Amino acid sequence: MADFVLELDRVTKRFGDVTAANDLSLQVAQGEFFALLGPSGSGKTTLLRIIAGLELPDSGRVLINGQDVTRLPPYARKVGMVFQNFLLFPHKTVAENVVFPLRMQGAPKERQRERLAWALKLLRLEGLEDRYPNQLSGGQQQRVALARGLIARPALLLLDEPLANLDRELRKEMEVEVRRYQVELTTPFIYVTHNQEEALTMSDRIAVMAKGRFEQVAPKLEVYTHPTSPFVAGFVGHSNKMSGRLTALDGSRARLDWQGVEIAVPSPARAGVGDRVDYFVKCEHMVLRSPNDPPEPGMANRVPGVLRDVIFKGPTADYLARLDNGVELTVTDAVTMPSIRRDDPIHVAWAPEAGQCFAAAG
Amino acid sequence: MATEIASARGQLSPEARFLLLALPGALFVVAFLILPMLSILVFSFWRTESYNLIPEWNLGNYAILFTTPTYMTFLLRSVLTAVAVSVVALIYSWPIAYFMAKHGGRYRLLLSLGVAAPFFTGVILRITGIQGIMGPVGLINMGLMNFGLPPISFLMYTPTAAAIGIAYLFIPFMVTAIYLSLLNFDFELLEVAKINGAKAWRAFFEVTLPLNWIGTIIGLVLVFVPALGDSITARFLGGPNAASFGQVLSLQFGETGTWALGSAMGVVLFLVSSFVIFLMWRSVNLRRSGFTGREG
Repeated sequence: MADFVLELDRVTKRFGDVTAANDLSLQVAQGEFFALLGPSGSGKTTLLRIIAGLELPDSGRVLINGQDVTRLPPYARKVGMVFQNFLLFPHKTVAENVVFPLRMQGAPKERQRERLAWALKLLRLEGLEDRYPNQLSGGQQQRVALARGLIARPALLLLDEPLANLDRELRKEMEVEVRRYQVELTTPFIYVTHNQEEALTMSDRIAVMAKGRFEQVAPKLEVYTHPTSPFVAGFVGHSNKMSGRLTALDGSRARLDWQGVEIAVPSPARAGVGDRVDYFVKCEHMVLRSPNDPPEPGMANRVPGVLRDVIFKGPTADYLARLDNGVELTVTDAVTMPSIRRDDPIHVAWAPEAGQCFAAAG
Repeated sequence: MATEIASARGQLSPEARFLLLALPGALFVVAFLILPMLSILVFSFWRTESYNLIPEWNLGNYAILFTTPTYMTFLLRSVLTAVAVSVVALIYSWPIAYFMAKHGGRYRLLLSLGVAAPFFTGVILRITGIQGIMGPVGLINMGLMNFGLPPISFLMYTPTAAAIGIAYLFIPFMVTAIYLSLLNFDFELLEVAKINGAKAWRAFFEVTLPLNWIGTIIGLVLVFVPALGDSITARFLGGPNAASFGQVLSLQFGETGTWALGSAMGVVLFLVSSFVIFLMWRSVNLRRSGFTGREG
């Protein structure tokens, strides 16, 4: 029965005309780090609030450890939650903030002390017990919020963009730390974010959300390499989108007329010759070649153009190529391509199967 | 050179600007607070004879106040009334202010104006209006008698009636003080408290009340101090057994013409009020009230 810590069963929530959660079902198991990834307004925060009990779904059920908690108030659900703007109690010290959930449960003083020491140690907050929140740095405040969320051993921890207010350096650091806590505790984390890097860095599985629906729920690598919807293909990673009509279909391969250039694509589902399709290829799955380079067997697509600009990114660089049909593509590759300069003629090459082709909507 | 040019243009030095800006407030305090208080203090050590103040220094007025039991009764009654009124006003004002801050939305300003609406008329008129509800021929008791029920006697010319009147007069101040405090309160903190296991009431006492304690204390002071000095309400609604300290005090400046004794009563009133404000302020710990500014 209680194989899953969290189960959502056809959860739906509307706000006026907007459907924030549209018939969503989901299972999360013990030990999982689960990310809800989506742009703002996709309904991910609403879903988190439904799990927390801060919103009541219009229909559907929420189960925690097999128990139906749909109608239970937040304080009876035994979940922890960490918020984007920290939301520490400004009139309580670090220790008082952290121990708050245990006090509310009426835990014995001895246990409160024990757990407080544990939480402060886990989150490296020792020595800050008597500080007030406004005497802490952003990272420290976020760790206090995490300690408060974890101290009472919640069935699961909900995190609502907890790192969004931290600067980049600190965020990188915290991504690793948060993941470490989760692995150490095996408590499932449900992590809401609009930042795909965060989701890809930390999580085991990702649900990509748009307009109140799950676009794809899968292990993160699969979401990244095998997006199953045009939205996911466009949202996760950096992709080039090529739109056009199919000119030929032959088994698993098809041909696409992309603005006057004929390219090979994998055959899309539910599309025939003459239909409009969108073809997505991740920037790092394309390569730059000199026009003199010999053709390579895997790279069936090879389009001529000129190099318009190089954007240095550190370990890699983005090469902006203007193709002969006037369209620009971005190719992400190693920085070590000194032989090619701006305005040089180049070829952009890639394997058709490196990308995904979908029937265009509408 | 530079300063000369500046002054030639009529610009003032920063110090002069500071003083100029501080002047109106300082003048107000001196003219309308310090000087009258000082004169009252001086009068309280003089004596009155056939409606004339005679500048002969003595402690006679205070001797009368502290040795005549009736004066002490008046004072005690006023203190008890003020305490009761403050507590009632506190309990009654919180839900009003909370509603305005939480659900007022774009009607907040209108609601605040509604709280101030009683001030559109004079205090006497408002008290008379209360009389029209609670008095022997008032709405409540007339209604009861119409149905053959006995009138509620404690509503008619009793200390309770006076207390209700005072609460009615000063609840708007308390509501406003708490409301202003709640405007700066982050209601999301209540969600945090609830997720972390606090039921609604627990969350109120753990989070809402402490974080709005300063506003609440200001509200209490704004109710307690005028309630302690009340004379009008007691006179109109209180009846013979509700004579308040303030009522007797005002008599000294009118009918009996004993200004010196009245001044001494004023000084006592001031000291009691100051003491209560001091006690209330002692309950405020800025950090514990979520005051996040610089420490003083």
